[in-house]
Amino acid sequence: MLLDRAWVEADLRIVTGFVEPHFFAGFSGGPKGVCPGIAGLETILEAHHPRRIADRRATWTVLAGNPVHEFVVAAAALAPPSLSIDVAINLERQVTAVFAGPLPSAYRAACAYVERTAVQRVPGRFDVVVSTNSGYPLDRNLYQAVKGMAAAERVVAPGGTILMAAACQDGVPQGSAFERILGAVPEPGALLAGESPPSLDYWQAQVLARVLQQAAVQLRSDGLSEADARRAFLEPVDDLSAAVDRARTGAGSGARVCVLPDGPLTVATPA
Amino acid sequence: MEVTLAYGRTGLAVEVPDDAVVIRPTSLPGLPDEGAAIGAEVEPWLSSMAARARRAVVVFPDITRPTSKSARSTAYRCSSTERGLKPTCAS
Repeated sequence: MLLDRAWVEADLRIVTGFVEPHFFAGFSGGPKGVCPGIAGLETILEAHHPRRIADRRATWTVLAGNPVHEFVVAAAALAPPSLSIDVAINLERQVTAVFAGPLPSAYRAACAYVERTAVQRVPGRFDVVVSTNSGYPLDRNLYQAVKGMAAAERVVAPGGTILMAAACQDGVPQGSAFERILGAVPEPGALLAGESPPSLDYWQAQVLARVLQQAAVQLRSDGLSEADARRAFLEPVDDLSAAVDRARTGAGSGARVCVLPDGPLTVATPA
Repeated sequence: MEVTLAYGRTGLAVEVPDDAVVIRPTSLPGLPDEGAAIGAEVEPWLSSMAARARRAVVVFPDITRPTSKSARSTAYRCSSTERGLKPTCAS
């Protein structure tokens, strides 16, 4: 386990953040500010090991038994924060609650609070799901936007369509490990075959591949070219309204549409 | 019906069928004074901790997260200038 020297040698360690649902760590904030926050690369890779990401308990709002969360907690415990300060925010990005104290008690309270607002029951699965990456700044790049696709994955019917709107002002980003991983496989299923050694950004490509097994993903983005989208196995669309109409018509009569305007800030859960 | 999606800094309007199911998180009201609320939560902890500390490190999230500036500045202020601690920055 490698943690930043300045952190380890400090005698007052404060981690700040905000708590939101996280697609494989359960929730953001709290100990995640330590690992991956200020952890060494090898430790970050181990936290995101493909084996951990593939575990069905490595998912939204799950802490108990979540192998990613458990690794993060173990790493943070080696040089624990004196104080963890987390906030919860609303859609206007205003602070709605503040949680401060040593781990894990303050963080647990924050997660319970966020779970009450984020988890929304929905009636079954949908043929077409429109999702986002919560707008700026989370939709700055395609790497982050996988999170919004994973939010849609929870409620899209097998063989359905996800329509993702993410501005991606910073691109994929180009030159990232994420881009290289996607460019190195002929089709996304290859990323799920067998066990890969841990490598930077692999986790995001792995989740994207899993989503694509469940549904086709179309992307509306001003920041990416059509070629960028296709290299990530996504179908670029210009007119999102027309794409919704097309996808619904294509799914046949009685096709159902769900919209997650705030993307991964909502943990839609089929009843 | 038209739904405005969270998209970039501007939002994006999309036309969806009238029977589409729109799911949003439950939105709670913001605190009237964020800085004061954070200070009230943090201060009781810091008053005992910082008195013994010589070197403090404060970690905050990267640019992809809309972290409250008041959360950062409060933690920074409490741990550094007011306490006589010397801040350092490591990226």
